[in-house]
Amino acid sequence: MPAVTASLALIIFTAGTIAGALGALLGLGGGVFLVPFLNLVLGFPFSAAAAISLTTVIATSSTVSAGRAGKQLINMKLGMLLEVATAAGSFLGGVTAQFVAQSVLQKMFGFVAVIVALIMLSRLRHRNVILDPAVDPGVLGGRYHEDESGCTVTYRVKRLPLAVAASFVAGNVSSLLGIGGGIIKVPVLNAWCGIPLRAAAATSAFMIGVTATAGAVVYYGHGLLQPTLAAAAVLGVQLGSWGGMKFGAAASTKWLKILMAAVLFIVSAMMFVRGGR
Amino acid sequence: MSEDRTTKSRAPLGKSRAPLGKGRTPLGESPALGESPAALARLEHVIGTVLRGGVLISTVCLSVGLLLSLATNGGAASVLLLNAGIIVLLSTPVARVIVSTVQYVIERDWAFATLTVIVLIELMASAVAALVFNRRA
Repeated sequence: MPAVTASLALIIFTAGTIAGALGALLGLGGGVFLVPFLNLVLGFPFSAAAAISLTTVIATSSTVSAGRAGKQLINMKLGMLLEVATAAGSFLGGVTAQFVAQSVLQKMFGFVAVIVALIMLSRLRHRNVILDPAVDPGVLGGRYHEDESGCTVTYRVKRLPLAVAASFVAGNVSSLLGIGGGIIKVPVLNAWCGIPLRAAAATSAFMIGVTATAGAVVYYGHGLLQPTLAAAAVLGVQLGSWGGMKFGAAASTKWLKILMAAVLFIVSAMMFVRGGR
Repeated sequence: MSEDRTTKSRAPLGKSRAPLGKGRTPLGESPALGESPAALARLEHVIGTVLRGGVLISTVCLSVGLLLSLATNGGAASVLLLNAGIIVLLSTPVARVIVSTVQYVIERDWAFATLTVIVLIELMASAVAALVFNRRA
């Protein structure tokens, strides 16, 4: 574990800024980047990296959701329903940890990430939104005002069991990999469950705080969280998510999908590098 | 991927909850938030207030604590502030779930009140289980 210095705090602050921006744009907590960065680049032990990462995931979730509340972009009902699955997943995370080695999990993760990225790219022109305002969004669907098209759009939720399963998996691997699981939920909700990318990202950002809490509390309780560096990362997240929210509304959905696919490819490569060690 | 699936979107609701072991909850019969945009707006307002409060308090504690920590090389005051900030940060999602439960009870939306209570129980169970069995040590 490197010594705590002002320059190390600054580096971690910067990494937090990127994580926060991704959280605001794509609904990811950024843990999926932060863990390999702290672990491989800065040489932190995995547990210290995961502890900081899970803490920033909570910061991203709270900051982004606080900024979004009241704009109908977060699907609260769907989010709270899926939280039941994600919290159940993190409860059973310890069981998974007994049977699956972390390196195996990382390779599986890398493989799945590539497939999901390809699916995202193949659906660039497919949109989940229904422009007809008379359409009933159903029990779990939603409506929100979209700046990109300048109108109120509606969507319906499809394949709910798949969304539940993805949320369970996200919670299940959260503590083990030090991530919030947005990287799993957002593509699944968007590609298969009929939820527009912006709504999927906002709803995921809303949920990842709950997903990461169980793991973060445990790492903190075991004294594995370095408070000064965690503070630097969290403050970076505040800055990054503020920037992401400010500029994210103007970004086109197509551009966000390409960004998401690029993120998935990078994550996949990092997972294979780490899993292969 | 095909649009004909849209019509089925209501059907899996009951089934999807089966793996959670809670049987069927009349989710579709929950009228409060489904039909009332006002109730949803109230919920979003309460949640927004809690999240903003948590973020504000933790940001103040952490930024002052961080500067103090770097200036005093980890003095006692900075440790106290940093830990206070982290505890507030970690409690914010839990507080958000608790106020959601309260709000759902006020709105008499029993299905979602139950769901949020389950989330709370799961969160506590996983933290307690992990700390008690010390699996990461």
